[in-house]
Amino acid sequence: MQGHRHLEIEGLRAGYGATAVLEAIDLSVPRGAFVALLGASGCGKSTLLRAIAGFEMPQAGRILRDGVEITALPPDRRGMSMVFQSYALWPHKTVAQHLAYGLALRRLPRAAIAARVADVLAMLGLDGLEGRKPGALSGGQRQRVALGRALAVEPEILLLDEPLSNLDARIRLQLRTEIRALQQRLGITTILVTHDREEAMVMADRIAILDRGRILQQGSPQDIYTRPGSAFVAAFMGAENLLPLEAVAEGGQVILAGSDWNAPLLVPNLAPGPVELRFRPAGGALCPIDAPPPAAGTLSLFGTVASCSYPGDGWLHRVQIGPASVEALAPRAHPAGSRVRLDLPPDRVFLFAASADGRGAAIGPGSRGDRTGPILPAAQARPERSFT
Amino acid sequence: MNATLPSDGPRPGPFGSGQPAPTAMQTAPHHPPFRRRAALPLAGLALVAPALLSVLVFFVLPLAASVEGAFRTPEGRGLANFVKLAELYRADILFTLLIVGLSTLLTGLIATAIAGYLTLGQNPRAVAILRWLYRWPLFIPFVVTAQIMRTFLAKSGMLNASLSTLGLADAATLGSWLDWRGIVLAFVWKQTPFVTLLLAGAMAALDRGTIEAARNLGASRFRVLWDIVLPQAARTLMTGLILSFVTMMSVLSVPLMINAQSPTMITADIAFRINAYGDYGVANALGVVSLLMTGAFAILYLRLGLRERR
Repeated sequence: MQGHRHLEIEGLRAGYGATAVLEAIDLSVPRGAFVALLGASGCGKSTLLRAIAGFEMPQAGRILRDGVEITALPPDRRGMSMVFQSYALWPHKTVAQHLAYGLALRRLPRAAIAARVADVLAMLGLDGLEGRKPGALSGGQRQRVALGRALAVEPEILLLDEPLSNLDARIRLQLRTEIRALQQRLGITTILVTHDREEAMVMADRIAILDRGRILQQGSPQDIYTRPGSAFVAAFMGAENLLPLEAVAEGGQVILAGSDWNAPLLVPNLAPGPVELRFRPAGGALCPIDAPPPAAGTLSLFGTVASCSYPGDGWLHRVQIGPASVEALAPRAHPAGSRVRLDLPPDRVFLFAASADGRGAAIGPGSRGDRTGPILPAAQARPERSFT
Repeated sequence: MNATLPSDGPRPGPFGSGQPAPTAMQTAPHHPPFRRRAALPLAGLALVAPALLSVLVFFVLPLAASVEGAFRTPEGRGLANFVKLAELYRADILFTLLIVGLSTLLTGLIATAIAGYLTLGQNPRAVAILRWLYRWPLFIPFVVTAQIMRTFLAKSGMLNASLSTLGLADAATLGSWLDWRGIVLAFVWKQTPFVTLLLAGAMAALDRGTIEAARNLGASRFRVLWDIVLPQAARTLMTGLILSFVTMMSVLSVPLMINAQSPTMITADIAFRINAYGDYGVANALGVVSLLMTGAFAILYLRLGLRERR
């Protein structure tokens, strides 16, 4: 289904006056792909989507569709449909009028419009609501109308601006799979803006992580999840547990120095200096302090259980390890106060050179730099460009 | 939606953080003074009374006296004033309705165009200039507007001079514009900014997304104005036009200065009846007719207001 580059963005810069919201954005979207722009609020992801739609005029750079530049084209001539975060439904129009509006603008015959509206109503489960105005619809129904309005014109490119953020959790879960299935069925090139990691991972087949107006990393959901390129991406992808460690040169190799809270470990591709260890609560195995030693290459951390709760899918422990309080998920409960060992297999460990802004560059086994990558000096700040 | 969030301000409870443990004396609950509510209706009436009295004495009574005066004739109560009015001023009443109606229509059209451009215009400089310019007539009194129009629209005025300079017309054949056209022009010139001000405010308050969604689907800016923006701001436009209609109905200076010949507007007739003949009876009857015309619009306005509040 995926083919040549459908939408391309080259060196895009946007902002207000001297304040840059987006800087040097490069993004390539194949035909039929579902790309998620993921980032915290204020990272520029919505601005990027609006620039693609033609609502923001970029200060520099180009936007191309099928190789043709559309950077300066007005929004009504771009052949893209957008679903707005606020839904942006028209309070004075009925559901049917919403769905028919774009078709009427294309001067389709009345019968063809009616047939298409009926199709979309059925496709989105809106049958029977065609005469209602937005004020008489629930949140989920409004969302479907907004989606239907965008899909009715059979766009080549669908832009979704946080389309599910105003819905309650249950409907959100249902709609995200529905939208994904619909996109797959119709083969529409889709760009989704979201701040919800799980939403991006479930819906998209490619994710671009934005921070402060730049794309930090892009790749498949699994790729970004398992090999985050920076501390920021790791934290954003759920590796919130943070522990400061020290890498030292020893006998021609660089090892993670042992301390009261960790065993020493030889790690390939490590540069000496302060190191940020990041891992997910489910990333390690929690066991009593005197359990049999783990497999080679495992990073062992020692701490004391501070608290223990059951959120489902195992017991969630808050463990004090050295200076840090981390979360660890375990199949059985370890009582508060007990001394424990947390074993992290190499592929669950994310090591980054410690940096002042907390967006440290990747080093070590779990990183994008990997065994063949360059050894990054510890002092280096976050990378200027994504690693992809 | 978030109205139920607790406020950040100090809580009324006696166990606020950082306070010393309460003693037995302090724990007595401090109830708000409910009893004072009982005295409220009287106090409220006392507060409203001066305003109510002013309205009664200075507004309702004179109005009632004026209406009553319309039916007062030398032979006692009767409809003689209205019969005379029908004989003398039937044409003027129609003229007034047509002029004010046409002015209201044109005001609505131009105000929509200006407010629409202010909302949807893409050239920020042009929008800024228009925003700065369009309000000026708001601050110019009607009488000055009429004065401006006299010099602008006279036979040898600026309009004709410009037309002949541009070669669009021959100065010799051009007549004065100071008839019904002059009145309409003065009214539209003066009232358009007022309606635009209201309308542009309402349009600016719309969810921009509703505009962008239509643009995104391929609607031109004119279509967006007509299909999306205007329907959502229609009530405000109606309110502005009704208020404008009533204002124009009450203007004396413009018809008096631009076109006091027959046919002219009711306001000029009322002034003439009083100043030339001291004929308060027919003047009052004309006033009642004017009142009925604006009253119809006032009812429309009130109904719009009611619907808005629902």
